[in-house]
Amino acid sequence: MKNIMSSMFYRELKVQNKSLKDPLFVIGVYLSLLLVFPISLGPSSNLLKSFSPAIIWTCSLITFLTAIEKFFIYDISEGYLEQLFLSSLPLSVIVLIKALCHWISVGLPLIILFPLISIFLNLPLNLLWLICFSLFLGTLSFSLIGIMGAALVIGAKKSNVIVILIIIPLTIPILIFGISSTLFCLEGLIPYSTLYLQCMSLSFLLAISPIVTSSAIKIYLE
Amino acid sequence: MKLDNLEIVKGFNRLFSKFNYIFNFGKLYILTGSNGIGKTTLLRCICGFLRPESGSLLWNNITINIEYNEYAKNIFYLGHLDSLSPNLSVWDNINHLSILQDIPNPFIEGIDLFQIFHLKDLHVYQLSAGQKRRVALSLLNLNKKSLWVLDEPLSSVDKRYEKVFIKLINDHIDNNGIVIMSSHDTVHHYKKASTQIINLDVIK
Amino acid sequence: MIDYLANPSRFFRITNFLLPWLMGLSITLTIIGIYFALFDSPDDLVQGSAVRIMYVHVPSAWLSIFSYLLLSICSFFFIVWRHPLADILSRSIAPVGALFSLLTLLTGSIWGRPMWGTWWVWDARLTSMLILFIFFLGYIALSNAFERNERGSRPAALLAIVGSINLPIVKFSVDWWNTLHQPASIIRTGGISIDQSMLVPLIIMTLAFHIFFVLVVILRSHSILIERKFYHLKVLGKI
Repeated sequence: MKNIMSSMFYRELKVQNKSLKDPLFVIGVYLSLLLVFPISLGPSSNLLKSFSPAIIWTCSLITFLTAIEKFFIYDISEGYLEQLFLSSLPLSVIVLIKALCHWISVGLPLIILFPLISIFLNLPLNLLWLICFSLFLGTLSFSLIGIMGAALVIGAKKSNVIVILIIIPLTIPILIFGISSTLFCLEGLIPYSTLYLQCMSLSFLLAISPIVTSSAIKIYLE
Repeated sequence: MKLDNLEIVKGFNRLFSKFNYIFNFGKLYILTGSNGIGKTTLLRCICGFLRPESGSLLWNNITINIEYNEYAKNIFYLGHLDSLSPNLSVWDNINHLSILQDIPNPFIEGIDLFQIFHLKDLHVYQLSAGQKRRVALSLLNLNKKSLWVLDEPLSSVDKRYEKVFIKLINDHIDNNGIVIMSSHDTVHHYKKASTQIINLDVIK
Repeated sequence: MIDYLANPSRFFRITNFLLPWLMGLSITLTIIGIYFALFDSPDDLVQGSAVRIMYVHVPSAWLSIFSYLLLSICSFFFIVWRHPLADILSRSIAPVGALFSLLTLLTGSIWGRPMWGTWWVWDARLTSMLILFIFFLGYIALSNAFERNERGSRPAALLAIVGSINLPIVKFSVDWWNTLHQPASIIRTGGISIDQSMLVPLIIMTLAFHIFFVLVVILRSHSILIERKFYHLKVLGKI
């Protein structure tokens, strides 16, 4: 069982990242989205600083939306889901492994990059690790929501448009709590309450996302 | 393996109704029939991907849904697609799939039956369709599962590998396994005595 | 009761019997309700005659929440028992629910114009109603996204169930967000003690809306049923 899990993990990381360039592309997408804000809001650093929580979270959300296709990219075209279904590992564990690998290939580069971004946005550096932690909770939740959406639209026409329509409303609580904890951090407060709320929504997603995703995969296989 | 009063509906298409069949150990079953008659659907139903509308599938007299995990351990399934991941090397793919299917150790000699040894470090996206198929087929030699469900296993494979495949199938049948496969053309080289051809056109 | 209704031809028979009654009832109730709302209810002290839009706004808001509830119940039935009628019902509910939540948003914004001085305020209620509307849109898009129409039913039903679990959280987070950003400077609509002379037309209008909703859902499910039968016969080559 453990053997299968580690093999799955390795395979997923390899499949989701064709080479080491892939995390760099994620960072590229994030930075290019980030560029839009100074251009549209003007270069005033005070303004950018007050908008920075919104900027950080909007850019991460959009980066995750662009990376949704990674979840099942080759599994469908190569008939790999059938083999997963027949394996002795429960589908929900497989889903969790997939979501974790997705987070490692999309979320982790963003968090590693974050100190650089905070320099771009003139953020105070003292509570940076707390912002990183709240980003960690939020991006992991994005991955868990993303895998649900991706599994629901397998085989649909225009799936990449529909998946955005069904995912965004689900991410609203994550965005609200994440932006608030970043806001508190910038004011120099330790955001206990919002971090608790973020943990709550993450654990809620950890509970429902594997169930929903694995039933969506079963529906696809029929 | 027994199909009992199987009824499979796909959309508005009632593909099978009151379909009964018994598959015995040590036999090869070849499903034939015209396109769209439901060969693939029947195979997928046997694997449990698709729940029949009514009726049941019994494995050793136990309905498969009851102990699905136990049942799935006996299946080797190869569909139209090869289930290989394009940006992994051939060897990584074989290794991963055999771990996934609880095959103990994939040994290098074992996979050379279809002459893919020289391909083992290439990435799968570099292979041609026939080569990919051979990689997928080489897993047949490694696994010890008793029920092989194969959907058009010989598509895009050269004639000379057919013989290897037929030998594999015959060995598997001799070892008391079941092979259920779909095929457009009935191949005559399998052991006659233990081969049964199921023509779905006639059955309906 | 559900098993009894689940047979399509029986469903047709019963609903065909109900239809004229529902139609008559909803027309009568709407006329009575509109009469009360426009002519026989007092002006609000602060809001003046503008308060009368409440008799459309509040029932449609209630109705859109009710229809999402109904949608998720039907979806649950469909996922668990796989009865096609549950699917047909949820497919008929979704667009109607979407329309009523749109109506809520529109009337809310018309009402907001004299009250708040702008057409739109990111008030907690309006925002959650907008999210509800997007949920409906997502359901409709997903259920029609597949080549074979029925293939979309189960993913969409799953989505509706996830949405119904998620909506309370969304509602909570939006309320929380709103209090965080806007300290209570906004005039809260409704919820304050309503005079009985206002309550009676409100209840009548709510009843009328709900009956109208049931009527439309029945009509829509009839047309979906007929469409499916037609398609079925076409596939079999009988037409």
